[in-house]
Amino acid sequence: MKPSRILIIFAIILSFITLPSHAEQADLKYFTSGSYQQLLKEYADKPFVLMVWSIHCTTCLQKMPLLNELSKNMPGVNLVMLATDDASASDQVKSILAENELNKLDNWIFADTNPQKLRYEIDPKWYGEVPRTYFVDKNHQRVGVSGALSRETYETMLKELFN
Amino acid sequence: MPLPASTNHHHSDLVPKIQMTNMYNSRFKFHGNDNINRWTEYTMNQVSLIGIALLLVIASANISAETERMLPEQKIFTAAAFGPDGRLWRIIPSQKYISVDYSTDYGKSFSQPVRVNSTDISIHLWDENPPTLSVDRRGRLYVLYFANDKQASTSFFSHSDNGTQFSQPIKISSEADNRYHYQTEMIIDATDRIHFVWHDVRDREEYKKLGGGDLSIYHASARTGKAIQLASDQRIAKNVCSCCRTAMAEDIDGSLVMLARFVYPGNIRDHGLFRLSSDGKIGEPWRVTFDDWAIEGCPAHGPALSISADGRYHMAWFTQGEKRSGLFYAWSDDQGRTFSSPMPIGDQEKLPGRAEVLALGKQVALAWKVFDGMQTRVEAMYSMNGGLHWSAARPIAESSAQSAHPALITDGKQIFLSWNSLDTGYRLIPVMQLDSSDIGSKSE
Repeated sequence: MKPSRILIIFAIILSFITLPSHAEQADLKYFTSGSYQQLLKEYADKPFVLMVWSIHCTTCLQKMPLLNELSKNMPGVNLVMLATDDASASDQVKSILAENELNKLDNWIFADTNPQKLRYEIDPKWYGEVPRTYFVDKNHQRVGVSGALSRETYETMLKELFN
Repeated sequence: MPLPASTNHHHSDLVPKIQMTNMYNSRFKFHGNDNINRWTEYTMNQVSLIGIALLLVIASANISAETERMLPEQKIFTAAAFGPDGRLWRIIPSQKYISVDYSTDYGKSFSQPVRVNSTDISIHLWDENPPTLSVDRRGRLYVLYFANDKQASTSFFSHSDNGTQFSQPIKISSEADNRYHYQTEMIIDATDRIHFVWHDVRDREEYKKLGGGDLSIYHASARTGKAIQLASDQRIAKNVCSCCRTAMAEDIDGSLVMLARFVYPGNIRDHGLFRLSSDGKIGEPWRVTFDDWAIEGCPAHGPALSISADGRYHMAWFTQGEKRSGLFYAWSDDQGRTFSSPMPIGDQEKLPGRAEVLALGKQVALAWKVFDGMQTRVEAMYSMNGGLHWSAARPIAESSAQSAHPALITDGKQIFLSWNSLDTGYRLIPVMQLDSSDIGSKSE
């Protein structure tokens, strides 16, 4: 048997081992120390909205259908979602995102042993209340708002950011 | 919303199995489709088997690394309480069970831990949902914790006569299997009844029509003894903010007093007090903080309450209201009808939060967390005259890793900070300094 064939077998076996976990990573990225700066690099010269939420936050969950609608109606909007739950809640987070058809967005989850440090890296003035929404313009000047926002507020802010 | 337990498995148990099944299927499928002679097949099987064995080793190593990374640290949520004999009892959570140990030298050394739940279960705690340990005046132990069962973070308790063996875990809510409930608190009153209060989603549909906060507070109690049978639970408050722990203390008349963050008209998340009399009568809540924090969301920052032997109420709370923002303390001499003017706590530049308050006679201690971007510190101050005058605030512990909320406990003689952090481990630190010359600032 040719070595190339063995290699192919290994490649196939390997792909079955590694593919599913890669797909998982794509759905929900781990937000660790430095991730906020990474986000700013990824969205260099681009506006984006960072929507911070938690599975324990009823209001956040109630507002998800609205976010889904907005993300569909305004496909040019870069919507980044960040769950402040520990990475162990990944399954719950994923199922909530899937239920609300938000799983195709740029999704992140806190995954550091010190969540306070992660919050501080995002915003040294933020106490951790959720939902918290950051409207970040293309120069990365931003406005942070705590609490759920109305459709009107979203639409106004998004139009301002992405036009 | 109720979080079904099915979405809540610690996936790392499941994922590897699925991957391995795929791997085997692929191998057999490949063989079935390939036309090769017997010898080659034999060699290839040998090679693939070795390959698969190797890959399994690699994969399992990855899986265990993944497991460690995926599961949160549960041991951080260590809680402690003193027994009547002066022993310091501690609960130590792990991923699958809760243990209890004790110290006879104020936390310098600890006994061998004893397991509370004999059957493994996924322990599920977070900082606004920590476990609790109570020791009654006869030295009996009560352990309250949260674990994923039919609902995520279901509340369980176990009890023990002397800490050597624990009862089977008992579910606290009568709807434990059907309704999401959490942030359960426990207290043993002066008549040896054990009380639990918790946040429950079961009335959500009712509140949808009415508006306002969509959580209820429920209560269940029982006489302590060899066997504990909880009486049927009942709703004691409506329209509670969903993510802030409720504080509870026993008044000198034997009633239980609850301090909760309510949702007032206009989505104002201020605090209210209400009483549960010893005869079981549920009082109407009344508002006690008027900061006007309007937020349709989760502050995730519950208040603290302690009632001293002279009946004075001491409360501490966090707000970002229009009228007042920060961390505050106030006291009341009329069972919470009126309070002293709020005294600000902590350095506003360092995100002060998570205040705890504990009164022991005329001594009152406050402890809270601050963060400067690198270090988390617990700062504390104390009063020797029931909250009228206070010492200067000073840092008494620090950590550069994850840490639990600070807790204040007492052995009846002095007040201690009971605090755990990942880098320094569990610490018991006296709050009072012998030198009280720095007592100056005033709260009236």
